[in-house]
Amino acid sequence: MSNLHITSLDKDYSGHQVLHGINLNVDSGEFVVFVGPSGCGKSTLLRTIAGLEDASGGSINIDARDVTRVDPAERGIAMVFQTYALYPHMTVEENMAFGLEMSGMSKAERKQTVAQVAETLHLSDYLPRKPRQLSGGQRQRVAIGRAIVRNPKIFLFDEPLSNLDAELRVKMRMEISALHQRLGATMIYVTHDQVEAMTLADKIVVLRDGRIEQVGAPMDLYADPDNAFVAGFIGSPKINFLQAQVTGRSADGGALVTVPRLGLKNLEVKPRGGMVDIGATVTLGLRPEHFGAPGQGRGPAVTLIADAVENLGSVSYAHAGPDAEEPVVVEVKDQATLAPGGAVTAEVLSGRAFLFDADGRRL
Amino acid sequence: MRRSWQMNILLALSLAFLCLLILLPFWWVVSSSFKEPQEIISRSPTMVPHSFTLQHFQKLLSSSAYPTYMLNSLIVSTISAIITLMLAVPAAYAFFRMHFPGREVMYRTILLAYAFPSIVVLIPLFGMFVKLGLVDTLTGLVIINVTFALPFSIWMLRSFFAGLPKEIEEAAVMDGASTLVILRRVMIPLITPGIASVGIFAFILSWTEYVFTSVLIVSDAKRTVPVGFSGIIGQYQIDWGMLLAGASFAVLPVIILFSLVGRWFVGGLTEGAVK
Amino acid sequence: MRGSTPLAIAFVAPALLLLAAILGWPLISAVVLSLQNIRAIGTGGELIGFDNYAEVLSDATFWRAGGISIVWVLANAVVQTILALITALALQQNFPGVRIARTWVILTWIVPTVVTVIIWRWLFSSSGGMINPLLMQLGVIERPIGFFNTPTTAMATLIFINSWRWFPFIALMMLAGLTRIPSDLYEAARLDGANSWRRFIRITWPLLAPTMGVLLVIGTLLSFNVFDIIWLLTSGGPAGGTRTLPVLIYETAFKSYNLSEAATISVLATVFLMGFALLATRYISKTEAQ
Ligand SMILES: Nc1ncnc2c1ncn2[C@@H]1O[C@H](COP(=O)(O)OP(=O)(O)OP(=O)(O)O)[C@@H](O)[C@H]1O
Ligand SMILES: [Mg+2]
Repeated sequence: MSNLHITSLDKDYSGHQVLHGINLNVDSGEFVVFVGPSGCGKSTLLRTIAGLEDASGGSINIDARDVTRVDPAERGIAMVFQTYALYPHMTVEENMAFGLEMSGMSKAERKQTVAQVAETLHLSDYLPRKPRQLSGGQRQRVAIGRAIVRNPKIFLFDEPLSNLDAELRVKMRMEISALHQRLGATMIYVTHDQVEAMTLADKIVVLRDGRIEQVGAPMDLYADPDNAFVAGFIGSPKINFLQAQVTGRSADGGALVTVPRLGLKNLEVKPRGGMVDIGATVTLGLRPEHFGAPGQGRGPAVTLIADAVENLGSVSYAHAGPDAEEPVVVEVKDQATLAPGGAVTAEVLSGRAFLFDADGRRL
Repeated sequence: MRRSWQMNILLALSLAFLCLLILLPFWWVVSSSFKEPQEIISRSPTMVPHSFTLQHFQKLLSSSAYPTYMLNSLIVSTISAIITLMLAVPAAYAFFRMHFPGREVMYRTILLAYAFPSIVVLIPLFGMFVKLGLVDTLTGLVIINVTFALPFSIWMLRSFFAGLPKEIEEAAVMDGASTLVILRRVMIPLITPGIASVGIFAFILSWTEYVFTSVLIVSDAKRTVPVGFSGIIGQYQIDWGMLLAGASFAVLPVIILFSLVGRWFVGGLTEGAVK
Repeated sequence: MRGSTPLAIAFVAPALLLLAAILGWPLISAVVLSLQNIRAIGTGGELIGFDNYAEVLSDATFWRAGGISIVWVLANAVVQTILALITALALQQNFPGVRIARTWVILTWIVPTVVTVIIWRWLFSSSGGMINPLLMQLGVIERPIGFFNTPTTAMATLIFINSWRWFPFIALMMLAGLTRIPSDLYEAARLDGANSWRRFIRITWPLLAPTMGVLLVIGTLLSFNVFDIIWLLTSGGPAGGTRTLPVLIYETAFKSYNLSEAATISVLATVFLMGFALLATRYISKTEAQ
């Protein structure tokens, strides 16, 4: 169990800067997830922490020890790769024991440690096998086991589940979560998968173009994003961004906005802090779930024509044109009869909506 | 993919042609080495021997130092192959993965080795070997063979290294393995096909080398098969029976070697070439 | 990029030192030698500048050998490319025994050249060889001919023998290029109704072209340097009709004992070959970039 402090970390590949002044604190025992669009530098950040890439600037501290220039093996870090990266010519047992052997552990001790970890990962029967004789999920478990046996201070995972099918992914996700509970270890995890990020993380780090956009607990990022990018990135289906005009202020400091797309006037939205200029053009961020069932009096009602309908069973999502380029997505509950072309009436729960300025900053 | 019958006929014809072109000469030579002398030089040659004799082989073994040549060739080729591997594997890994000044320039320069007539170096090299006392020694031959096998071997092994996933090496780094251990315990076991190909390549190169050996070796007892054999050609009134027996004999070791590891060699050659 | 620089140098140094000592240094000495007038090994000589070059360049034997070398390289390229292409295309197909065929096709390349020489010298000989009776039966010739007796037939025969030795090697390299072409391209073309010939012209050929380019360069260098087959079969004869530059170099050095002149020819040949290799690789990378 260890903490990690990253200070103004830069990374460039021969002049092409990939990470810009990253500052990040990871507490002992925390589960941190990196998310962000492809190419934003998640893997690079992870690999720099591991020491597989050299930092171009800034520092990395583990337990108050500066490890920026320390060899990967001496940082006390274990990494699980997306492709598993098992040694194909070694058995499962040898794969898991290799790191221990490198650290000078005796043969008997290695055997015992590996056997213990294999037991907890249900790998005991597979110890004499070669990686190619295992299924994807089993290989993944061996990769995780190889990390566990070394008892590292910090675990790094780079999209460890992305090569598995949907069902196995859910199962392995639970296992990793349980593992975190059991070991209480510090873990850093890169993923593309919203659900993985939301369910596993104590803390999510949203990256864009090599910069941290926001750091926070999953529900904080979801309910209180710092900017339009984070709001757009977290949450599925994606949040609706609608053009709006500030027309006035309400008594308790809320902004009154006109939303032409929804045909709404004087919709009251709470800005995060301070005042919003009257007359300013803003973007209203309204999640599909910010549309509520009609007739409850929780907000102004709108009626939209559903051009397309996604029925997921418990909920449905209506995609409303009219110019279909960026349809407004509305979550509809308990409305089994919803069909394309039908009308959807919903109340806008504007109290939970967000306002962003022209640069995407939260107002 | 399924083929049309026209394509099948075309394929069958090409294969038959290739079979004749490659195998027929060998068959003629090997089968004729068992024929009586009269049948060998007969005006109407026979596909299948009508007579059978081992006299050419007996003569070959008794009247020439052929077993010595064979032994010399085996020694030189085996040692050359081993030394080539010992030098080429670390060099290829360094050129592939490690950092040192002048890496790219040196790598390119090495490959230029095949761009000049090898006979160019023969003249100064002879003078050098005279001074070093390497003329008429098997050591000298090994040095030459290793040198000529190295550039291609390094090139081929480097592309084998490049074919391995980077993550496996990184996993080993995370496991705390040093560069030497990574090379020995992780990388080398994973490129055994490449190592086999390069070893066979160096062996064959040495087994067939003629020019340098013919100049650098003086005494009959140090000759390898190619040079010793070419000596037999000139030594006697052309005795086809003995020459054919010698040819059959010289083919034998490579055939044995190839039946054991040929698959690896060709696989490595074609795999290494595409990367 | 990993590992300490000293370790990296330790890894490459033995190989590089050997190459420098056995190839690099003699190459430089060859240049020095070409500026001296040394006749036999061990005898002294003095620097005479470019006199050797002037002499060699005004020598008709040199130009004749150069011309023969060019013919040799071109003819080998044509014959080997055709044979290798047929072989590679055949071996690319799936048929029973294809793996064995792919392994053993290289047989002609793995036997010592001396054996190749014996095989063909006997097969082409007019006493007992198989080729003459075969051609007579087919009605191509009326009485046995001596293939190595006239410059033209000797050259043609040598080209055939050398190509026989080398084409499987080239074929395997081509096969490597062929297997790199994704098979879904063929399947797509097939669904588009392209017949075998069209598929060859539109897919195989363009995608194989870069490999062929590289192979032509390598093949040229390899054929140019061929010495032992020629030396053992004809020694450059008859009447110098098969005396390529390597043969001339060998003769000049070890038969006429004129080391400096041999070195001069070597240097000229090297300059010529390197120039060719550079131009060709530049041309290839340029067309590849397009
Ligand atoms: N070795 C390298 N040399 C040069 N540029 C690189 C290198 N590795 C990564 N990059 C660049 O750095 C940027 C970040 O890459 P990185 O792999 O960290 O992205 P990522 O967030 O992990 O993306 P993904 O989600 O697709 O895995 C990319 O623009 C990439 O092109
Ligand atoms: Mg990544």
